[in-house]
Amino acid sequence: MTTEKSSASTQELERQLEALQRIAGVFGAMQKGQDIYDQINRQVVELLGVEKCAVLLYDQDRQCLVGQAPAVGVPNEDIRSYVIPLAGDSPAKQFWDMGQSFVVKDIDTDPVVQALGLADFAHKVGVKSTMLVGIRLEGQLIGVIQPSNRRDGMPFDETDVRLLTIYASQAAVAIENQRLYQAITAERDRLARVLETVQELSTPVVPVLEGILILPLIGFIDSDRAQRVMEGLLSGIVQYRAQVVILDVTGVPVVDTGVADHLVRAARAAGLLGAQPILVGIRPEVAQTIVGLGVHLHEIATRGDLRDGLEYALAVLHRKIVTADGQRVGR
Amino acid sequence: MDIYRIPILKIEDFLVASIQTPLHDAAAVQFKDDLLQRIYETKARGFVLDLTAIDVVDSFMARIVADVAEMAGLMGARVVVTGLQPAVAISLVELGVEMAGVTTALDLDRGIRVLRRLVASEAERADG
Amino acid sequence: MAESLQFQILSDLDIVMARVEGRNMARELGFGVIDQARIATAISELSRNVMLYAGRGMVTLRPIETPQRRGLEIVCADSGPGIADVNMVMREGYSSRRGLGMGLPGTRRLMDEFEIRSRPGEGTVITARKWLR
Repeated sequence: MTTEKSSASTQELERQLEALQRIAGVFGAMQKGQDIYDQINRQVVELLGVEKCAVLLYDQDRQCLVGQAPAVGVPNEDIRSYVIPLAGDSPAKQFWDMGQSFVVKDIDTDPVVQALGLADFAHKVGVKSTMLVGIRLEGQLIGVIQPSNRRDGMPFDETDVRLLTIYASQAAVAIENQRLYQAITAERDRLARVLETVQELSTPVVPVLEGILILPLIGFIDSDRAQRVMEGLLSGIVQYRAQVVILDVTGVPVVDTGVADHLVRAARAAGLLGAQPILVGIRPEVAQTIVGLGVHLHEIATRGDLRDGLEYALAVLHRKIVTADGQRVGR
Repeated sequence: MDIYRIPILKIEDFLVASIQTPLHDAAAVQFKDDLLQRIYETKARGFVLDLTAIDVVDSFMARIVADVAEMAGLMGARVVVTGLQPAVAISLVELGVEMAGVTTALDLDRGIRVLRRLVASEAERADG
Repeated sequence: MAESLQFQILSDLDIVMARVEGRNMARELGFGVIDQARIATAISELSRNVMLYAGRGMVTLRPIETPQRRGLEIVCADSGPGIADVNMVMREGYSSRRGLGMGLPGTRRLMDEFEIRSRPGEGTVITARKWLR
């Protein structure tokens, strides 16, 4: 075959440019979040004019290529069972190591297909001719794209290989992005669950004796946490049928108007559920802040520390229990 | 117009009513009238108002409850409100609506015990 | 997902219907029971104000969404006398009728976002939103 060099190279450049434009057009339609393999397969089908396409990814542990669902033109259970071994003595290994693309003009006569024992599988899914082009990410092969059966019935040629190689380099980035995106989403969900657990743990209620609940508060209380405290307190009252709740703020370093408001509301809500609130552990600095801010806690009983609070709680309960029986104990 | 009336039961010498449906204003007012009438007729010493089935208490309802407690008190009956759901309690305190002067208890059982205590202590005070 | 719902407020029965449907919408959107109660209570308070001060009005409930989160919006509108001093009614402790007042500071506490647009003679529109956490 003879060609004139200059016009051949111009033609070649034009072909390459056209190929790039087609790939760009097809690739621009790629959407985040939607199944990446599905999109790649559909785009290759359109790009090359083929009937089928599948993506296989390299599995390092098993040293083989594994088909990824969904493919175009091949049912999911079949594509998932499609495996090309690449271990030591595999006939496919040399192509993989050299990173060469591989064209199969005819399934029935191709020696590598026969050697790999994949002829039956090919017949089952209706593949007559096929090619495999490597997906390279940062120089590393991570898998292959395998289109099959050109619609015009012709075998795959150099142009197909070149086109798909360029496409595959873009696809590699998209696959990696998808993986990163999924990893980030999974991590974010995991963190959200951990945070939920931590927040639940940081508002524990402690039932002591019959009818007394202690709520030890530790650390800074923001609006969000205050909500959780209130919810935890009230469900604790219902669960343990508490008649007295001791809110211990010894471990809360800062009590400003916001926190004071929240505490007052929590105490009042506890009262609405029939549990008398007792506030303990207000330190000198905090006491000064509260009075200085003009917040009045006068409707809520307060005691110095937890021990005093418990004594008072017992007195309240004792009085309640005894009087309900109709007897009376001197106060 | 037939407004749904809330049934008021007698248990020992107390009255008990349990509100089961969303209460519109007219029904709440009717209930208040019925209750005070029953207290008057039965000379009941105490009344338990159970709100376990109520999932929203707004300022109007809270005002009715507080009024009922005050009016019943004037007629010699103590009122205990029971069964407030945590979600309702939180909404009430955030709304800033105080049912000041209303005694509350966790449930009907506790409510009756509290009523007994309240009534008994009143009797003792009367005896000196 | 539920679409926007509208209720004409003329009587106390309408108030109950609006808050029952509001609670349902909140539940469907994924709000927990406590936020459901807050939303239902806010609807009840706001529509009661409409009935008390304007005689009639419209409550609109709708699901709202941004790329980051979902929530529920309450819009309460009437052509009543309007509010002369918005700042005053929003101050804690303000009360007009039998100590009930409009309960607006309290209602605001129940919700995450709260806006009042009102002028004397021009009616009132109150918008309140709550977001899923």
